[in-house]
Amino acid sequence: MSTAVQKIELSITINGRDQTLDVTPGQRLSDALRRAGYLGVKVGCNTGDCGTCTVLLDGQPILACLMLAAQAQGAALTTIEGLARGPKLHPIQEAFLDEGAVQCGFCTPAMVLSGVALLEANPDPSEAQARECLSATLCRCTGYEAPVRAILTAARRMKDAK
Amino acid sequence: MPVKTFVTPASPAEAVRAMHDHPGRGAYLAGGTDLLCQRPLPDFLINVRPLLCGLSVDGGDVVLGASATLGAIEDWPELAGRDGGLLGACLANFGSRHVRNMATVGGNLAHAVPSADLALPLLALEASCQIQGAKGVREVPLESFFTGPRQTVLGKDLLTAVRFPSVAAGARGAFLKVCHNPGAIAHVNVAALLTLQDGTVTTARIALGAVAPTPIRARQAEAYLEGNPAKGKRLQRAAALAAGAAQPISDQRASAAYRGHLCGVLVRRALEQCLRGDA
Repeated sequence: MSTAVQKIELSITINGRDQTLDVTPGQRLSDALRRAGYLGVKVGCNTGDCGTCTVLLDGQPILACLMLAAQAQGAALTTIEGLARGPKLHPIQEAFLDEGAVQCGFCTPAMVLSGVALLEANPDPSEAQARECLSATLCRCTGYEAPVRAILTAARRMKDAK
Repeated sequence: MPVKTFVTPASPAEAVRAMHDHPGRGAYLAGGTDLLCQRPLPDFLINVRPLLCGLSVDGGDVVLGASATLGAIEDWPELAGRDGGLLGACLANFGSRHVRNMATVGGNLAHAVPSADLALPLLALEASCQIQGAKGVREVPLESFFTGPRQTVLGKDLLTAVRFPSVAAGARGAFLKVCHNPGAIAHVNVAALLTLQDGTVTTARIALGAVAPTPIRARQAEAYLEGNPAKGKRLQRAAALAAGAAQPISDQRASAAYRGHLCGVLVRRALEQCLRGDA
């Protein structure tokens, strides 16, 4: 049997754009995404504990450090880079800025994407539900107060806009 | 050494053939949330995530496909009333929702750590495991599935589904876990399932995790409760019997003494919760 490492052509849609990435069997999705230029996918722990590698896969928040790139064959991913429409920010991004919920910013992409998934499934979350959503991401700066407020503010604004 | 090969078979039988035929060290990959934390990674991976995802009710039995994600199980409406609330209670403190969107019931059982959270509700529910081997399919009671820490009867075979009978009407379950951070690996975890009739315990099932080489049932405690009134003092005695069944070790998470103590406390609380009917 060959001892060469298999080359895999990963067909994947990222932020609405169909792409093909060359990956290897053991390569993590987080690594493949960062090498493809999506630096908003952070690597904080590589053990699924910190949440900063969160991306949306077919709309669901997952941890890219605990998924092999090859497992994402045919999937549709959303990273933080896919949220804004040119200069127009997503309401959750706006709310994070308005509420002062960004300090060092390292965990912000993960929190925002988690919030996107929450509000898609539940447009009117309680504070407890907003907290639970953000608890998947470790934040050393904010104490979570402003991010929780930002999720609820965004929810209110998105509802009012309808 | 990097992983050399990643294959996605079209069927469980093909997956098992690939595992037997491929040289080197291989593993089945479903969610990957445990596998990708291991060092080193295997030489080859057999991707079974697209297979075996089904959740169904078959003649009164609940059947969980081994590759069904924990998030899918959490959201599955047909589970209500069939498991005494045990699986939902267990999953609420299992990693984070992000992890549960990837992790699978098959992965948790096949990894077979003594603290495997899902093993406890499934032991209390008297689940059985469906296994695809090279020569066909077999069924093994979950209680016989674990043979030691991270050891199961699987060998190179593939766990394809877990099945348990729907609980009797009025059965109430409780799952409790003590761990360092929410969602983390348990210091000790327990599941209890009680069915009562006119204040008498007709069925008692108690499962203990992280206090023995495998997840275990506390049979002596169960026998003590069954056929008797469900009273406070009896629950305390049952909890003491359950703690007596534990053979905990000391490790980086907790000492043996603390684990033994926690075991008794959690069993008592779980039994009380069952009696009260709290979720």
